[in-house]
Amino acid sequence: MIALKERILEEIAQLKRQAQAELGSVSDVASAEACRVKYLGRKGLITSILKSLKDVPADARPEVGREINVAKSIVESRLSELIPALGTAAIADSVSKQRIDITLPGRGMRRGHEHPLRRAMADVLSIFTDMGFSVHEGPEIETDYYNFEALGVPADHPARDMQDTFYVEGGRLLRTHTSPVQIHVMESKKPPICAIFPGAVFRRDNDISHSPMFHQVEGLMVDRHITMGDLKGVLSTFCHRMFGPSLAVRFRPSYFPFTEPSAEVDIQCVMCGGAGCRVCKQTGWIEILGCGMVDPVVFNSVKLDPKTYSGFAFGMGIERIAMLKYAIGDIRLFFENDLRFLEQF
Amino acid sequence: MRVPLDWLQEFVEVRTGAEKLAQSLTMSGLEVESLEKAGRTAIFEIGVTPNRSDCLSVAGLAREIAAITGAKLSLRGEKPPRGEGRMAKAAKISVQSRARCPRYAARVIRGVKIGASPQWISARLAACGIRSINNIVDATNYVMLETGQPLHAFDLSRLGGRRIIVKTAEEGRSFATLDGVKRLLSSDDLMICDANGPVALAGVMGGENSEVREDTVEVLLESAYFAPTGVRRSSKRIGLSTESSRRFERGVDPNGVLSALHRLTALIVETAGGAPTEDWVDIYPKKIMPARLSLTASDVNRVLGTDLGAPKVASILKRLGLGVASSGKGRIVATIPTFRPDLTRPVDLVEEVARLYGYGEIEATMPKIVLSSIARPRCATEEEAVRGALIGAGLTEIVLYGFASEEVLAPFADQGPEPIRIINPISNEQGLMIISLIPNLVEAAKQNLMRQREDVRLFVLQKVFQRTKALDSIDEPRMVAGLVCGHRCPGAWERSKEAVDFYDAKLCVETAVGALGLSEDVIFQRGEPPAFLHPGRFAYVLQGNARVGFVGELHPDLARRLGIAQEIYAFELCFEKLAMSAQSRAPRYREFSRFPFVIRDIAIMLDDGVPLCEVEKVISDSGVKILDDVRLFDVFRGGSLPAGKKSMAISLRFSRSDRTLTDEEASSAHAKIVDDLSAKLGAVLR
Repeated sequence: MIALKERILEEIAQLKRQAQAELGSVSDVASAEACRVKYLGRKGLITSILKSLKDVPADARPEVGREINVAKSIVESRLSELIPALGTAAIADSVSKQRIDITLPGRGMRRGHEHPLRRAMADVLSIFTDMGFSVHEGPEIETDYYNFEALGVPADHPARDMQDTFYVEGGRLLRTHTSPVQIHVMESKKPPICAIFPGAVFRRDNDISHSPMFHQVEGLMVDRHITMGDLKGVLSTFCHRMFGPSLAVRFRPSYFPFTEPSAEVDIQCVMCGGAGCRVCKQTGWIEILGCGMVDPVVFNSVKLDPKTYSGFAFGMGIERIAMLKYAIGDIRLFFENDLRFLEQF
Repeated sequence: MRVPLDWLQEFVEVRTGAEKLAQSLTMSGLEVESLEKAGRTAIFEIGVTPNRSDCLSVAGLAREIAAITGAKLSLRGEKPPRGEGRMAKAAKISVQSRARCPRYAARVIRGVKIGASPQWISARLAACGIRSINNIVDATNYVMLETGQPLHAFDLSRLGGRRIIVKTAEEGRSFATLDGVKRLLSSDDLMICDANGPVALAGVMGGENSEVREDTVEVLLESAYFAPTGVRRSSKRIGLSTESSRRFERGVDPNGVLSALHRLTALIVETAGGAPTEDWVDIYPKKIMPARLSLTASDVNRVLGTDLGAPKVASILKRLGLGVASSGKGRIVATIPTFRPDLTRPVDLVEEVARLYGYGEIEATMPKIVLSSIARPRCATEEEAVRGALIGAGLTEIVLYGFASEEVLAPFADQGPEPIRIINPISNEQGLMIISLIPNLVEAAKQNLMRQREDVRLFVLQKVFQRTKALDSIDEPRMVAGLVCGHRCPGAWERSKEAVDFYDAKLCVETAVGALGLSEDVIFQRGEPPAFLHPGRFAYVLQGNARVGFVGELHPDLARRLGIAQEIYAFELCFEKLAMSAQSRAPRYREFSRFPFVIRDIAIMLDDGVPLCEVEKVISDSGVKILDDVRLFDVFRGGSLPAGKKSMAISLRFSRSDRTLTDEEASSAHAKIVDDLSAKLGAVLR
């Protein structure tokens, strides 16, 4: 009987050594699984010995049983470490072989491009709306009254030469500036008025720096006690936000029939930083917008008392701003709609 | 206005360098556009604004420089040159149109010898951009540049009856100006006439018939003040703008007429010899007096936001040559010299004060204004949404002119109202206002295709111009239009061969409509298409019962005529109509089932002519309550299918919101739908 017990214990020890050796050389999940079946499966070697425990004399069973369980748990615990590790290793191995060309472009529809004029316009509008300006629009086909007369430019006024006008049938014209919206707004609303007027305008002109259609943003602030100092404050803020906070801005006298005093605003040349270049004609300065205090003639047109109210107005060309901002040399590019141009924005 | 520095220096001391002076002029309102070195002097090119007629002369600029810099001004005090013989005997002058010609002065010089001008005169004229002609004409130009007073010299022997009559023209008469061009006159044109008819177009240009020639020996010199608006009307109507008309229409000094005449007389005697008459004619029945304006320092400060005292304001106005007096209570009364016709209101003086005080000295402040809710144009938000969506859908935004040529519009003009016409287009091109964005959009695509582009995906959102039923009003609604041609996914490396078709353009429409939250309101419907579109690949876009646009293929025959080889798919939507109905609309959440759903796919064979919408209608009419979603996932023709048949594969999704569906429920719903499709559309399950 002792011999049986000894033989079984010897057999278990042998099995344990054999399993350990085998597990030690397992290199993939499949052979680890094969090991599990071989030792722990329903007909596995350890399972079989466990089944033969009933043949062991009762007094030896605890010891033999313990030895079998030790062997079983050694194999089990080894496998439970081995299988995930081998799984990870297997994925790591295959991942290491999966190399794609990451320089191929992303798949799907490419985004289109925003027109540079719309982009510049949106930038300008947001600077003013951030300051509290409302946005209004007016008609592009206008009457002589709104485009000229109400703004202090009667029929024989020399200032009409400043803007060569397209006329359409029925005595109307294509507005030459966004200033007529000033009149529309003041006719429909009492001060305080704090608004900008974006839109397309038209002049009979076509060359490298003039387009028969272009875009402007007009601005108007009217209330009691609005001063030229306020005009300087608002427009300096605009220039700094549009072109950079450290840029020098200057105001110099000019002439517009609908403002008095009138001014042009220059910024330090964005191309050369003020040193002088072709763009600023060596002056170091670039004209960016026209402005002034609302002329009493305009207040009279809309039946506001110039003794009670004062205000300022300004106007700028969006093409010019976009040309400076994006270093574009020819205004016609905006309207040629060449994708080689548009795709740069 | 071009002016040499050394000429200015005859009248004003310039202590600083030319650069520094240019800077000061620019900063006080006379923009120096360029500064050229010219030998020992420099030439300023000054952009004189239309209000400053006084600065269209050397003396006027010198006066301005004196005001700006405080330098000493020494203008000529012109003494009338002596002469012999009575003017009345030499020529007879009369003015009939007093309102148009408030002042007319003239003098005769006999025995002049026509020749070249001395070098100093022709050099100065050249520096100012004026060609030298002969000593008489050059003298008139020289004195005009110096004083700002336009002048004219007639060959007296060629004046019929040795007469000058200033009067308006006979309507329809023709007249040859000095430049050799025959002009048709109107009864509004003021003319200088002799006994026989016109000899000069007053204030604009002299006539060929009385021009000074090589053999001229006696000249009649004219120095006049013509009413600005009259000169301007003539100059505009005739399309002739001259150095003279430019000055008259802006306003010369009526009280400078005589001193300019004296200066001219003296200069001609100096350079061409001869003897002037002992007197001269000066018809000036109603003297134009200097205006008076009054203002206070607070008028100035209210506009400028400054804190200037009355003495400061008064001293600035004095520097400008204005007469300044005080009328008590801080009120300043300024007398405006007649050389400054632009100063007519107190606010004009405010500008003068600001200019000389320096715009740079005015402190920048931020306005104090009552806050209010910001208004935006009515469809601004919707516009941003649609633009963003279309850019996201791969379309590039373009901007179109608001007008187009007949040639571009013609192929698209088969219906719709007449476009609004521009009376004076730059050329015959661009003579019509657009009523649709499509013609210019197709033109833009064509231009890109001609530049070797294969894939063109564009959109545009802007105004068009339409007549309304009321004749005198014009609608300017915004439209949105787009166009795709070439490859479906430009730049893709594995779907590179797929070309766009109708459904790519339709997706653009769906994207735009979806961005407005209107997907469920919009349907696509067949209809009689406009001639420029392919009749079989075309749909109207309807919202409710109203047409709001279309999508379709450009008619292949039109494409061929335009020289376009590709298929082009385009769409146009009434943006504003859609945007208006999109407003005040927010998405509404609908409960979805949290229980698992069941999907049953069916593949049916149908007649090729049956559209998807009919299949969908049969399915939705089947009354299956647990039907949750219907999705087409494949359509094909050919292969094993008989001709005239197609196969559609459709995914049906079933679910209940209160519990998990049973297999039997799904099966019987599936069967019901298949039966209906078979009964109503003859669909055969495959």
